[in-house]
Amino acid sequence: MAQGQTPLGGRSAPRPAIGRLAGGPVWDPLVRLSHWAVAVAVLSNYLLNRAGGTWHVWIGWALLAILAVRFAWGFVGPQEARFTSFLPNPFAALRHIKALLRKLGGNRETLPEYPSHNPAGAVMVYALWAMLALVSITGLVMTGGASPVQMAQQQAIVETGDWTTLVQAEEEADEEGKGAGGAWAKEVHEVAANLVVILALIHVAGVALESRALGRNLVRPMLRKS
Amino acid sequence: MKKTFLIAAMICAPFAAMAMPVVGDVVGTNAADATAALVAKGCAVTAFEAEDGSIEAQCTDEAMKVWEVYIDPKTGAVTEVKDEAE
Repeated sequence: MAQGQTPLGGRSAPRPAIGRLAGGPVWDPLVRLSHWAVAVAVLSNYLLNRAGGTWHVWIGWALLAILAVRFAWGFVGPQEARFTSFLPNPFAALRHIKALLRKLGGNRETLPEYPSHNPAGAVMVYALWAMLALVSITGLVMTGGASPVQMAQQQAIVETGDWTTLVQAEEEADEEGKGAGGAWAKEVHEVAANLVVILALIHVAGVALESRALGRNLVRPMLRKS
Repeated sequence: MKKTFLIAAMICAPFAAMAMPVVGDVVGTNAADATAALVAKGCAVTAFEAEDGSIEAQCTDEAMKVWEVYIDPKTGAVTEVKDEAE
């Protein structure tokens, strides 16, 4: 169990532990690594590399692998990383946001602390994961499930080979039903990618406000153990 | 002489801009042929990529405006020409 942590018995929402978790949750290395790896992947694929390019596809696959590992960790990892420690509860999230705003507005009440994500953070985590999973899955649909190596081979043909061979490969993929749904997948992929960035910006703002209200930097435990 | 040249250049400029690839032009079914054909039509290719069953050629005209030229990989014909900024 993480330092300063209390057992969790509830199933509907993280239980607050006022005044008992002065340091907040201690995130294990896998949570910290996956958090920043996802951040780097999103920034790279959204801002830096060319959509549909080899790097974009490689990073998309890496993102899918990171999500898979993190989801498995949600079942077998330490208590603060488990899904049962931060089940989504929109009503608790709203209550937490109201308490946060009251605190920031000068109210002297003590803001509840949680052994894992607070209820607002929990809702944000699930929303981000849902959008990231959607981006990854629609990316797979758009590429017909082609691996990054296959994508690189296709790009090599585009740059130096005979394009008619691509038509043949695409017709074969269509016959197998792999190419179906490319248009809708592209639309959903773009909308979900935009939503990921919007949610990430709200997440950053939330962390800044919560840090201010609690009087400690919440980014630090996501960077190092103590 | 300079003035005459300048006036001639100004008159010809719009026509030069029109010498871009247009839908229906056959530019080839490989990068080398398509690059040569697009350059001949006034658009210097910077990249090719496959997109939605087409080949997208990114090219720059003499005014340094970037265009996306979509090519049917089966026939080598231009199917769409788009301003990259739009």
